[in-house]
Parts: sequence; structure tokens; C-alpha cells
Amino acid sequence: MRQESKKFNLILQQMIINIILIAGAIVVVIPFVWMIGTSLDLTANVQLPFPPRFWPPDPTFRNYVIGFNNVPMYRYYYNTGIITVFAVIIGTLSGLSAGYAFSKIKFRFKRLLFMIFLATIMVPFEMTAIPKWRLFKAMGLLNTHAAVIIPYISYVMGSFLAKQYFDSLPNALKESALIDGASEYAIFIRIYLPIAKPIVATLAILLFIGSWNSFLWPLLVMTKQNMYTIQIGIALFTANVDNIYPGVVMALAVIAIIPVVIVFLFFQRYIVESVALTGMKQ
Amino acid sequence: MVKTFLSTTKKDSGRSNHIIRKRGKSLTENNKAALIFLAPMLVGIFVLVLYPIIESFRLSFFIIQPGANVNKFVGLMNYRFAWNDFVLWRTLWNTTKMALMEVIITVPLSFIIATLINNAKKTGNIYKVLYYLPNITSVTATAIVFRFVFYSSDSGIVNFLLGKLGLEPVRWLTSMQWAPITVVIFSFWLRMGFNVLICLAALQTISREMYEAAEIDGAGPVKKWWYITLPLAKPILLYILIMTMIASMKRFNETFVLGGEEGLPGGSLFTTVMYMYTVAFKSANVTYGATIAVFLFVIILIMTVINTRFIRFNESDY
Repeated sequence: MRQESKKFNLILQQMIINIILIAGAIVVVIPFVWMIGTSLDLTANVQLPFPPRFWPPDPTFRNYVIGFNNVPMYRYYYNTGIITVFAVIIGTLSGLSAGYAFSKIKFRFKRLLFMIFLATIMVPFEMTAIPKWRLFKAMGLLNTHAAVIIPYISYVMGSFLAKQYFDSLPNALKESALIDGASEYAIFIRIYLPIAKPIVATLAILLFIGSWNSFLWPLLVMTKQNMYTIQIGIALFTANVDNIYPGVVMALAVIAIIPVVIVFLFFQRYIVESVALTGMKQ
Repeated sequence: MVKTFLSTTKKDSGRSNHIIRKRGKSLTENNKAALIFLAPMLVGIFVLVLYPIIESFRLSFFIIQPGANVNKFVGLMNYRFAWNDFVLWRTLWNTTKMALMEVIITVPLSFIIATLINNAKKTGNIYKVLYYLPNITSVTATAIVFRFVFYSSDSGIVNFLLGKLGLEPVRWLTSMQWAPITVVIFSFWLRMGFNVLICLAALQTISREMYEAAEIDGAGPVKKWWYITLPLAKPILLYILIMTMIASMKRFNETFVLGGEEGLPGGSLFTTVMYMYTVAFKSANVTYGATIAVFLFVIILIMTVINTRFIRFNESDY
């Protein structure tokens, strides 16, 4: 009898928890649903339909066509794509090799350097923005893809994640390779890198999301419209049209987030784990 | 978190040192290898972080007018100007107000949601993914959507629902009182998942035995939460509090999209970073822009120091 009531309590408890969490999840997800619904709603361009609806009676992709005709979306996608690809490559390589050095090589000033690296992640980007911008300007790099790509070389958070991963790999691998006379580079590339795929994936995914969404730095260095990233492009487009075409604006917003959402849904495990690991937003 | 990095370096470097010495590799050879491995990031850090910090400080003691070819040392003049600059204080007030509001809703709600997810037996992982989704989407795109979610007429979802409850529509983004609140709600929606994940990581370190012992003493779920979970999660809550505060002091993207460059309505969304952006890049006054950056840097530095102290202080709790 007592056993049964306890079981019942447990089921009731699980039900209450799930009901609250589902309600919360609905609040979290509804803006996305509404965004997609409105983007397919041609009448939403005169004004938002009243009463609000999540799905138009006759869904159409016309808003997307209008968006593509009035905003150089292909160009924005191209710019963002180039930047993202190189940001991922540069950031991952730089983070992995630095992380490996901190984890598996003994060298002078290691602790000091590590402290400097640590301090670096605490420095707000805003503090460095102006001199950095002047530097890039002096080098003639404003309005080039390189201006947005190069800063990913100091993806310090990546080196911490990599270090932590390499720490979990045994040193014995290195020891036996050293006996065979392998160089440090050979050990890194041939022995540790092949078994470090999960961390490579994590860094690449985090960099992908970060560079796809980055806003302030591209806004500073990309001042010509044909160099805008997609985020800058839609932000400045909506600033100019001022709420008049909700349907088109939502269509552009959908286009801007689709690649990242797809990557997230496929690789969410890596992202969720990395947050728990570092306690830092990437 | 940061502390674990430090402690592992110490331990490991000792171990690998031992291995390498035994194999007769000289330390200079290791230094050379390490330098090559670290070179890209070192260059990045020195050129793109450390130099700009020093340069920001230096600029704040100068005035530069490229057109008039003026480049002169003015001592503390920029700082004196900043001290009396009511726009700067106004932006600091706007930013701090939003930061405090965000902290007040973020910390308790993230924690409550995290404990609920932690107790959801089979479905926990689905919620983690769903709640984290806004975090990975761009602030720009979602802010555009929220302009319409919080539309001031009753065709916006929120006002429509308020209308159903018999309430008057609120002028969310068109009145000076409500616009900062709207930004905070948006920002909470956007970043909550991240805080929930951090809380969850901390909650999972609390041992089952403690709860079992409490159960034997006859404690119900609410009592266990209040007397065991909450006290043990205090350090992580402080961490979230400060991290949210720091992120909010740097607010730019969402206010830029929701309020435009001037932080409309009535400058109520004009944040300190937006002011810095306007001064340095729109009015081309880089030196005063740098002064504002230094102001902000000092504020954030103080918070960071407090943060690391809290973490150190409470580490024994885990």
C-alpha cells in the first residue's frame, strides 16, 4: 500500500515537472514558429495580420523572393560563408596547437604564458576594438574578408578546450613515440590529432556558430555594402525599412539563422558539453 | 572552472617534464617546439589583444584630429570630459538598469529551470537542446523577430495575449519605460539556456547520498531543494550573476537592432558600447571613444575580480 502511494507520488512529480518544462519550451520555441509562419505570409507585408496567426491560410515563398530581389542576399551569404570557413580553419588550428603545447610539452614560462592566455579571455572585446580597427585600417584591410577572419587566430577559449581534451589523453603515447625518435610535430599530427576528433569537431562547430553570428566587429570593418555579412546586412536593412514589411523581414531573418540551426541540431551534443565544461560562452 | 585549468597545468607539466627529461631531450628543444605550436595564438594575443589594450589607454590621453593634423597629449582631459559628460552617465545608467533587471530574472529562473530539468527522468536532454536553441541563433535575426513579437499594437503576440486576459496593450518598444524591459525579456529568452546548462553542470556534482539521507529524515522534494540544492548551488549562482552582469554591461547588438543607432525610443536603449561606437566610428573621435572603452573596461575588470574571488572562496563547498 505504502509502496504504491510512493510510486504514484513519483509519477505525479514527473508529470508536474514535465508540464512546467513543456510550457517553458513552448515559450522558447514560439518566436521561431511565428517567424517561419509570418515569413510565408504575403499579407503580413501590409501590416501584421490581426488576430496573430502562426500559419498563413495560403503559405507562399514570395516573401523570400522579394527579399532576395531587394537585398543582395547572395553577396551577404558569400561574404559570411568565406569568413566562416576561414575562421573555422584558422581558429581550430591555432586553438589545437596551442592547447597541445600547454598539455603535452614542457617549456619555459609555461605558467606565465598560461596566465596571460587566461587573462585574455577576461578582456572585453570593446576594450580592444578601437586600436584594432586603426591597426586594420593602417594595413589597408578594412572592407576585406581578412579583416574579419584574422582575429580568429586568437581563439583562446579553443586552446583551453583543446588543452583539457589533450590532458585526458595518456602521456604514454608520446613516450613510446619519443623512444622511436619521433619529433614533436609528428607526435602531434600522427598520434594525438587522429584521436582528438571530438575536440576538433567541438572547436569547429563553436567557431562556425560564433563567426556566423558575429556582429560588432564585422560592423566596424565592413563599411561597404558589398562586404556586409548577413547579420550586418539584415540589421541595416531593417533599420532602414522600419517595421513596414514584417513578412519580408522575417524571411530574411529565417535565411540568416538556418545554417546555424541545422548545425546545432546535428551537433548539439558537442555544444551542450562544451558549455558545461568551460562555463563560458564561446 | 578556470581554477581547474590551472591545477591541471601544474600537475601535468610536472609529469611530462619527468618523461621528457628521462628520454634525454633538452629543454631548449622543447622550448623551440612549444614556441612553434604557440606561435599563431601568441602573435594573435600580443597584436590583437595586449597591444590594443595598451593603445586604448594611450589614446585616452591624447586628442587626434586627422583632418587638422592634430595629435597631442592632453593628460587627463578626456577623463575630465567624461566625468562631466552627462550622455556617458546616461548610457551607463541605461546599461546598468537593464543589467540589474536581467540579473534579477535570470538567476532565479535559470536555477529553477535547471533543477526541474535535473529532476526530469527521461526527457532532460530534449529540454536542454530546446532551451539552448535561442543561444545559437543570431541576436540580430531574433531581435528582428522580437520587434514584432512585442509589437505595440495588438497584432503583436504578447499584446494580443494581454488583450485576451482583458489587459490594455503595452507600448513595448515605443515607450521609454517599457523599451528597456522588453530588451531584458528578449535578452533573458536569448541567454537563459546557457545559464541553465551551467547550473545543470553544477547540480550534477551534488551527490545522491545527501538527498537520500534527507529522504530518510522525511524531507519532501521542496524541502530538499531549499535545504540541500540551493545552498550547494550558491557559488554557481554567484558566477551566473556576475557573468550576466558583465555581458549586460557590454550590451550592443540587441539594443542596436531594437532601438537603432540612437537607441530609440528617446535614447532609452542607448548603451555605453553604442555610445562608444557612435563617438569613435560615427564621429571619428577615436581618443574619446578609447576613454569610454577604458571606463567600461575598469567596471568590467572590477566585476571579473569579484567573480574570481567568489569562485575561489566557495570552491571548498563542492
